[in-house]
Amino acid sequence: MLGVFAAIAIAAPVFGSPLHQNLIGGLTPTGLPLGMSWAHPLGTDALGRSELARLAFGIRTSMIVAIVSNVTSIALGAAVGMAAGFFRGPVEAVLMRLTDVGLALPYTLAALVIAGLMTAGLTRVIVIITALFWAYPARLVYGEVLRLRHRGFVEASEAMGASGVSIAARHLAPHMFPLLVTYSPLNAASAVVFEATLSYLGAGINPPTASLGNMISDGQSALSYAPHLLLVPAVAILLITMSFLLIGEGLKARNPDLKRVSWLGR
Amino acid sequence: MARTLIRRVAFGVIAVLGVAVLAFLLEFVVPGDPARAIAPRAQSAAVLENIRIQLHLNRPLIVQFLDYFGELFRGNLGTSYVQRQSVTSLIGPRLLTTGWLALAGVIAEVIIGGTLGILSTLYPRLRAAVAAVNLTFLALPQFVVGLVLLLIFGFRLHMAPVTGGAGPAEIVLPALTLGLVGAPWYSQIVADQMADSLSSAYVRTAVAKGLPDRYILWRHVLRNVLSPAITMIGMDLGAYLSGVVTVEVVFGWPGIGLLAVNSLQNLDRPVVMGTVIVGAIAVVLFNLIADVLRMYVDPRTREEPA
Amino acid sequence: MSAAPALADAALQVDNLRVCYAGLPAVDDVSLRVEPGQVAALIGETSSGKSSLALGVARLLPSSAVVTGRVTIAGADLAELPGREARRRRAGLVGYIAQDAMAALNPVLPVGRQIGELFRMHRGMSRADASRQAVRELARVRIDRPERVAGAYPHQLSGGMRQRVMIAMAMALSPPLLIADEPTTALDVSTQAEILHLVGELQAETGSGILWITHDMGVVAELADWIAVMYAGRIVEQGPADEVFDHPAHPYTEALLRTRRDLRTGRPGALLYQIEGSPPALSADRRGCAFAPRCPRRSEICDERPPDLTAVRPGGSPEAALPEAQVPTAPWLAACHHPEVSP
Repeated sequence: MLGVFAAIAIAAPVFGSPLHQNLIGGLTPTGLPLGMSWAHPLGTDALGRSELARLAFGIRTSMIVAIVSNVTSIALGAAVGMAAGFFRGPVEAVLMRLTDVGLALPYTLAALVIAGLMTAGLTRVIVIITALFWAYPARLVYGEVLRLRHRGFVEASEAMGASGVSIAARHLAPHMFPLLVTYSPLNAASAVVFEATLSYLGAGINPPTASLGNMISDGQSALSYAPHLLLVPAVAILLITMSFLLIGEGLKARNPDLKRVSWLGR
Repeated sequence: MARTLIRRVAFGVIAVLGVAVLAFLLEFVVPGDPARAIAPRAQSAAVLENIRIQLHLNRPLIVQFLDYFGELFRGNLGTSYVQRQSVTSLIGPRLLTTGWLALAGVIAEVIIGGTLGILSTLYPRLRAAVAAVNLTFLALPQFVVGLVLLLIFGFRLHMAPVTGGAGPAEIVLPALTLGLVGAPWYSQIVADQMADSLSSAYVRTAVAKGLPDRYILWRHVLRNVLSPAITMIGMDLGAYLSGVVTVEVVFGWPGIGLLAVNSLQNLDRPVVMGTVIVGAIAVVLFNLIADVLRMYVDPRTREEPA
Repeated sequence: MSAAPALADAALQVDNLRVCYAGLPAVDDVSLRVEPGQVAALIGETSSGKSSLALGVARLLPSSAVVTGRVTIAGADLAELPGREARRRRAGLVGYIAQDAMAALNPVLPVGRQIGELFRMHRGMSRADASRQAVRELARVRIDRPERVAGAYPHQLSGGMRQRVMIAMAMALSPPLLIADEPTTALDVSTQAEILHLVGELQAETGSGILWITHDMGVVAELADWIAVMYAGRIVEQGPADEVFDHPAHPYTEALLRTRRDLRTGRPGALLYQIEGSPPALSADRRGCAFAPRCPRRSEICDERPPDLTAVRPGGSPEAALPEAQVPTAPWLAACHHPEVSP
């Protein structure tokens, strides 16, 4: 099941490649959106644009956001965490306090504020997400580095004269991968949801570019006569996020826990 | 234990100060002239200049910075550009309103999530169903859940009011939204911790001691489960108090979040800064409270590892 | 005593116990007997099934394990009682001392309370009385300043103290049978000695029977009255401690003793004796003797038929060496096709 969803999520961009934004041809004579038909499989939105095309684009946007901002936020967070954990001393103190600040920030608010500073679009969203999401992986990585430090191979490398950065890169980094890989689907899922929220609030990607979030906000006004305009993108968000989460679950299942028994009843 | 607490408080204060600094820096990045925001219809440059002088905007950066922090420590968050009230007086009542929502939301999610978690542990047949429900709600953004609830209960069934307002009838849907979205987290934590507990050696010892199942669950297992749950509750309360923007926007709930959004649109900078700072304080404060409670429940957390 | 004591007097009587996990036997048709006031040592390597045996006797195995056979503790067969009743009575009959005290104690409750609950639940004491009694139990296991320890949490205590707490908990209701599941394995040598000494004293005071499980013969050499050696789920030799130590009949026992002796007295540089090979994994079919692949006395018959437990000295044990009161009712048995007893 995991694979199916992942496949859908990845295949979506394929749908979106052709640009179908036919403004005029999509309205009935009275100016209302068309229902479903062969020409427009999912009907049209209030402005006459093909819903299916917008959906595909929206999905593509979400996917891009998910992957790119996931990578950037984790990369930044991991760098901070490793630096803090490895170099200790004042570097650690400063970086960790910064991380605390990052964690104390009210997400949506801060996002709105940053949004006010930039022009609408994909870049804006990615910047916002990176700026807000890095703190958590930083803390995770930091904790892990601290734990690993005491395992001796760090001291051994230092004793052999290796330089700081190379130690970090060659010895510590490989240990981070499992942790980060397990965390990234969750991060990606959160990113998708957050992007949708931002676009809905108008702080992310604005029309005419399609994003699942702003499609929902558009759909809100058309609620009474074309509810599918709201529901379809919502379902899309649901499916995309679910597939990421399922990937995450699948990864976690790769490390089987010891079988758990329950002593109750014995 | 005291040492750990003091350290935490200190870090918290630093974090809030950091946020305040960030908020201050906004001044120089947000587009828009504050003077014009205050007096949009002023015609002469002299009037605008006057306003700027009044706001100390012509003083050097450092002075403004120190001014700002001075006021902050006195509890003065500045004056709203748009509404000619002190920011504090604007935020105050809204804080309370959001507070109710936050509280209701946390109660909802703990009850829903906790119950699901406990049930799925004690009755393995439910596990798959609960997992599916968890997955679904984890994957949904707050606003989608809110809108759908609004759709079903508000518009179609007419069971709940759909316009803004902050009374007990209106709190149901937004709180439920928060509850549904947050429940999966609690469900997972509770289920994990319970499973851990139930398969542990000390529960086996308790069984060997002849203690009945119900007593074991209540006296031995529950305490261990509470520990991570309390941490999460603290985080959530702080996060919600600092502005459940999405839910407030969807339902028109007049709390801090809505205030922040409106102020942002009006370029009412002091209010925005105020909300961000208050939000940060809330997050730090509640995390601290959660830490204290957790130390009470789980003695292992009382000392920080060296 | 002239006649053998009635079976009901045994602290523990195990008849044909078999414990299977997923169809594979970890404990394969084991019978043994522990007398009141006797310390019985059960010796075996890691996969010998000894822990499964201990847990099986105490009825503390997970429900996925299939247990057959009969276990009677001080005359009571817990299998005959309904679940809840069985659980209550078991606590008064068996004290289980776990190997890892840190894991076996609840980390969020003070140890005094964990002991006290026994008294509140089983003796109906009030909270105050139970606390006082708990402190007394801690004193009994020779813990200094028991009131302070009673308020402490498990992670605040040393390993040795935690183990004493476990012992106190196990003995609190004065059960006729104590099962000590490798209680000293996780401790350092000097603490080990203290715990052994303590248990010896306590046992003399209370007269309970003890089933002491270990992989290290040396640990129980001083304490044990009676020994059973387990290999691959079966008992391969059992008998009075002195006899078995001095004149082991089964090759495995002999090998264990030799390893032990070499460790203690071997000259530097001398090769230590090691038993070749490793214990077999759980398997459903076993044609001959399980120890055969590693046995120096191996012959054809060893691969064909598994040996039964037979008396080493047909006709009885050497009573002359033992005071009358200690004549064991369980004879000296070994399961080998070629038992040898050096004179």
